[in-house]
Amino acid sequence: MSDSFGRALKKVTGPGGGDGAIIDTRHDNTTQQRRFEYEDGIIVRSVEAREQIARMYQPFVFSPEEMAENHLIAEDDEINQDTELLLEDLRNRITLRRPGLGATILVTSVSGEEQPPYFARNLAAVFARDENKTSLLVELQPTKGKLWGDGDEVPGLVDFISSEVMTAKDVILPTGVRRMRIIPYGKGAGQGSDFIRSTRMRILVKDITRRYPRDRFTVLDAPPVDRVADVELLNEYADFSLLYVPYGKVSESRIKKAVSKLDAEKFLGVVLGGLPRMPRFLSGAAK
Amino acid sequence: MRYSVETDFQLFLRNMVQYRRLVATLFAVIALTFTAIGYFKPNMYASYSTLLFDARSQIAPLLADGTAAQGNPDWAKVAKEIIYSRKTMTKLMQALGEIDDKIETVEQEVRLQKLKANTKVGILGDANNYIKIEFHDPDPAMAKEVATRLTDIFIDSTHGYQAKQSGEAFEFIDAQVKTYHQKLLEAEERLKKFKSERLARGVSSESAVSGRIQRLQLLIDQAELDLKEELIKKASLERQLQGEVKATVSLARQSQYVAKLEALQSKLAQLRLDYTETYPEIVAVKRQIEDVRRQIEEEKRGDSMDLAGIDVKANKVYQDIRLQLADTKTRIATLQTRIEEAKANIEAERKKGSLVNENDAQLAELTRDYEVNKQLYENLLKRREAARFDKRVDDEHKGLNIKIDQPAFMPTTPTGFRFIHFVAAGILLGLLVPAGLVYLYQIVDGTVKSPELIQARLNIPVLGAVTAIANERDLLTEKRLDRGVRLRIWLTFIIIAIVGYLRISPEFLK
Repeated sequence: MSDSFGRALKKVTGPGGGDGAIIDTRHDNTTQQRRFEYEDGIIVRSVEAREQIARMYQPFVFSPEEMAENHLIAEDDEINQDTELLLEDLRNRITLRRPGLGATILVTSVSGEEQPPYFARNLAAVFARDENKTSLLVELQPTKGKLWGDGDEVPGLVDFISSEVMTAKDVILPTGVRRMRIIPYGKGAGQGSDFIRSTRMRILVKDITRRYPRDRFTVLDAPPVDRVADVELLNEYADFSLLYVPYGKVSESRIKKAVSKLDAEKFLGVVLGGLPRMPRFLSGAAK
Repeated sequence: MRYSVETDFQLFLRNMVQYRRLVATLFAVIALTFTAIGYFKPNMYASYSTLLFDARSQIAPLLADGTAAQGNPDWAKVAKEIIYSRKTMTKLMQALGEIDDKIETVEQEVRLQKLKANTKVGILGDANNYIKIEFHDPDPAMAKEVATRLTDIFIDSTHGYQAKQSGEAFEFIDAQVKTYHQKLLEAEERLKKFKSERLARGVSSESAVSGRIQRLQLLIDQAELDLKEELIKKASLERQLQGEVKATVSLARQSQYVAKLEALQSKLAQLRLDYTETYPEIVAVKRQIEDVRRQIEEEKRGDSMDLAGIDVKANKVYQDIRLQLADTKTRIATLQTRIEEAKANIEAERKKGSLVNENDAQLAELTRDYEVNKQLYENLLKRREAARFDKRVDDEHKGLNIKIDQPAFMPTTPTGFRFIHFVAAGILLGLLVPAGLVYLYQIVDGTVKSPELIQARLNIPVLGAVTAIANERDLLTEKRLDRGVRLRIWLTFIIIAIVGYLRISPEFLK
């Protein structure tokens, strides 16, 4: 822990000082009076939030290599361009559907591949790219990579559930991505998925979603919906859900079954992931 | 799973990329296998000669009346029969100096089969009048030599064949002619014999017999009529004779009784003068008179046939009638005899008549037999002349005009599938087989690989289809894999190039 913090201190960089000017140039006063006032109100609030967000504790920032190591897509990443585009598109869709509000997104999958956690964390990272937004990744399954830094034994979700004294603050950790926070799965691996239906879980989710309803986008990185029984319960907490389908691994009927478990109103759609990487000379034909 | 053509194609490309390692391996294996086959397969050279056939070209027009009765045989069949025959092959082996006289060892037998297998006979041209004799051998010189020799042997054999054919035809027809000649002679002989026999038997015609029978019948009719007349006459005479006798006798007896009656009556009258009626004498006389009267009555009724004391024969009429009766009896007998005779004659004539019919039928049959034989014989004679002509033509090798159109040559390029073909086929199949396998797998594959499927079939919105999230290290393993794939393909081509050089260079250097 101390190690991680030491490093974080070293890596802290100041929030961009000249950012406030952008807002002024974006909104000139030529529009109607009421609109101006309305927008002005938003701007004021936005500036407040922005300042607050800018003051967020950011002990360390990932270098591009570290990003890649944790399977996080850096901006203008050439390797994962298509995924990046898809994630940005998803972010825009979600923000458009809930203007001025944050959202909780349930990311689950049809079992078959270990890629879905990467997809969830990248979705969270893409939300955090907007300087007015923060994102929180809640790991409901053990994953590879240490987004919180080098510390091995960090308290996580399962610890919070089993503990009586821990608060939400104790498990929300900063990550190497700016404006992105994480609740790791925790040390108590092999607990099963029973914790999802526990009261503490309910408390935690309510707490984190209510704290910053406007700016925070919470991504629930859930285990495969067809493997873990209680994933359906998460429908209740989420505003949106999406299903990651591994390419060439599952049959039609399994997809159908998985989709049927998700709340249709909140369901955004399916992401077919893990297509084979086409060589450049074929990429045109295979599009 | 099948999708639209476009999706199918994209999916196919994706699958090819996904299974590139397998595809490359299969490609290498197939291409190299074919290259190896091409390398070890010996080059075959083919040499051939073509023969122009012209059956009876010069002579046929001369034989206007269809004397060339044999017709043209199926030359392709004949050529095959001749060339593939054991005789020809044996001759060929003799010509090549491989055997002295006959095939004796198993090796020679095998060699013969091999020669046969490498020989090809075909028929070319629109009129089917070109024959191609081809021989394949790894050695071009050998191919040429065998083709030349086979051609020579074939030409000889064909002439022999043709001559043999027409000779056989002539012999057959000749034999037939002889048989029919014999038959004709026999028929003639039979006819002659029959005719003379008939003459000797004196069998006249049918009409003469019937005339005779008619005349005899007339005679019988007349005689029977006469006979009937005579019989009536005889009966009449007999009746006359009977009646004459009776009358004579009766009259004589009546007169006797009348005289007696008169005497008695005078006696009675006498007595009555003297006596009364009751006088015994008178009673007696009366009784006597009664008796006589009764006797006269009886006589008048003719009951009594007592001829005693009457001389009938002395009657003249009686005598006359007796004479006539005898005469009539004689005539009757004569007539009866005549009728019997005539009837017997008619029977004989009838028998003779049936014999005449039989004879006529036999004659007709014999004549017909003779005529038919004669016709056949004449026909055969004509044909024999034609056959004789054919035979002479073929004997002098003028019937079948075989010309060597193109003699066997020294082949320079090998035939059949060459090394380069094998290489090309290997590369092509190396591409097609894995592609086919991938496509086959794609058809039976039941997993979801296409966003279109989810969207269209399951009616679930699809946000996107993306490649796996990867970093440089992940790509590195993939790249290593790609390097292996590339290496396989390059190695394949390099090996093919080396083998190709080894294979082709000696051919050029030679």
